[in-house]
Amino acid sequence: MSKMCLNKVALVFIFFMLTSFSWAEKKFNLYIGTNYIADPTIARFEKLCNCKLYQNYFNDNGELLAKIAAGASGYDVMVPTSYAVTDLIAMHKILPLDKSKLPNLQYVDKKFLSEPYDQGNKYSVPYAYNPVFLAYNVDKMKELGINPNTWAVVFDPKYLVKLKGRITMFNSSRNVFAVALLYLGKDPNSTNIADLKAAQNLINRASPYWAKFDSDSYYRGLLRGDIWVSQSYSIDIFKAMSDARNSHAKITIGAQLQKEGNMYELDNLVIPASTHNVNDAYAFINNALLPQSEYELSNLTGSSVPSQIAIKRLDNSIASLDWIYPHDMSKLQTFIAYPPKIRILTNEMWTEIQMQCREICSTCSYAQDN
Amino acid sequence: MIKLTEKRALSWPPLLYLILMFMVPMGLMLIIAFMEPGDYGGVKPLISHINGKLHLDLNLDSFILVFSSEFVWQLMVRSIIYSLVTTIICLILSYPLSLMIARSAKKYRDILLLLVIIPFWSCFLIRVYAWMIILGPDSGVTHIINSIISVLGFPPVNLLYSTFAVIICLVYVNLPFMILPLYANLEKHEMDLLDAGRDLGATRFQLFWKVTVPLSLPGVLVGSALVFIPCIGMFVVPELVGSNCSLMIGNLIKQQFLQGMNWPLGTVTSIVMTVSVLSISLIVGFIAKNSNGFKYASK
Repeated sequence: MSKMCLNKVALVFIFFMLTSFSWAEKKFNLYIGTNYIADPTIARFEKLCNCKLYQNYFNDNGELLAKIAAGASGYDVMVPTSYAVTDLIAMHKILPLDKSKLPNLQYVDKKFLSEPYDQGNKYSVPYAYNPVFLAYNVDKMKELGINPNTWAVVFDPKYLVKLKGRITMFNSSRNVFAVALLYLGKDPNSTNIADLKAAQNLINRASPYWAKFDSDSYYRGLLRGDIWVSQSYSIDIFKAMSDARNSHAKITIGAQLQKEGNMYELDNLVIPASTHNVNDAYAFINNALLPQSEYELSNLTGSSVPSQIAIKRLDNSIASLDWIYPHDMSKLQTFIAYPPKIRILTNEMWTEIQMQCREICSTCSYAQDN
Repeated sequence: MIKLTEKRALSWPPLLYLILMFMVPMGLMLIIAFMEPGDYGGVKPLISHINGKLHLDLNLDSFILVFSSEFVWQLMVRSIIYSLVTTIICLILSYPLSLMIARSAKKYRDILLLLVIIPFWSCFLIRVYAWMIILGPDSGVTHIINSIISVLGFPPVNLLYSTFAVIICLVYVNLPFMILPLYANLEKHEMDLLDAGRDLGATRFQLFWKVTVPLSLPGVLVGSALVFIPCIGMFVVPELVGSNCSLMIGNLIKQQFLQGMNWPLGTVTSIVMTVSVLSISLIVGFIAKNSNGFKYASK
């Protein structure tokens, strides 16, 4: 008797298992930075694949690489920045792309294709980019008579003494080293150890004046008024400016590119090797490359998109902004991956820069000669 | 009645859980500490083939790096000092409060305790963010403090992104961990002892110092441990409200795993931290155990 009862229970259980499986929605996992895809684009994709898209966020490419290197899986598409693509390729963590499945690649501006980090776009296609520049409190700059059109504002003590404790720089070794190298007139992707040491020296002398290293919430500091100058992404500043407008804040945030040149983070769509949803992943990428999606992205988040058709449709208030769509792209550079040895070296330098408390050095010479 | 063997059998699942979730990761940590960092995070393989020979890649590089670099020790010492200061401030703030709650009428005690616990219902991060607003340069608090010190002739100060802000937040998030064990201890004190002391002519201060304080030492010890130990590994608070000069050892560990991609270095730093916390706890525990109050209280 009890055996029969048990059988019945087992049958009911199996029935429920089966039905629940057939009803379970299909999931699609996207690994992306925050605020980096427009809702209409998501809706269009969900209709296309008949699935639900889940966004998983990362703050920093280092975080993405660390997580993937440690064996994280379950993502169907990731959006890493240029140099991280090279690392992911070397780690065999992403799939080579079948271009025949990506007809919308034709809409991507040719000048963003075949960048040095992935020659011939074998593994990645460009999605959007973010120039990195200085954003600032307009009134304070006027008051102090500072024109933040140069990286000297965050490196030269002439400016630093007026801005002590009011500057934030990115919590990212690549970004801070790159602007230090630009300021020194060197190649921002330099792997020359003497160049890197010179950059480290420069950063060490300037960092006592900086409030903190922050690449996540720095724009809140700008909005609150306690931070006056920030190394910034266009996408964050676009959001901060609209937040300031919506909340009728008294603070006006300004942004501009620097004369020594700027970096831009070209972010890419890649398919992780661990995905089981390859077809949906291609569908996602194809949808994201559609000029309509790129338009929505640029219009809603202020990201710069590599699609002329999308840019033409944009309102002039976005398309004409130099810090979103730079007039002179030749002064902007992307990051190229470091060889492992140099990366370990710069990581050690960076740890020291970040962790060591330094006093302001009044006797140091700040000349650009080193 | 449950037999002893059955009792033992019941203790197996939690024991197994502890072994799997605590001992195994600890063992892994110990091994990783001696390995070489991998090119892309993680570690290099333990055994490599060079010219057909097997090589066991274990070395002391990470230990040498940690013990020889000045800033790791700066961070370590700073973390210990911050945690000690936080513990002491928490103790000074909690003792009168716990005593007040313990000595108040029974019907108010639960409400008073609830008031202590209520902030815990909101997320830890939100509470730290609230402090960022309170300490921000445009907040009322900052304006009042700066106008007072400007009258005294000092230049205005930044409250946020400073050691001061880190300590304030550390004290704030840890305070209930001191209050609750202290209250639990103080509440159990027998009033007869105080009455006896009073009959023998002790003053109020003597009653407090010679009866209440020694009896409360176990509570003080538990509270201090509950504050000090989590405090030393804290990384969120210094990251949010601290400056470059108020980072703690937890920040270094996090940075090595998430940004630096140097697992062995992160692991060695964790081990150094664990060993220091353990030895400090043991020393304090030993001293307390040999004190008279503790001996009496544990009778």
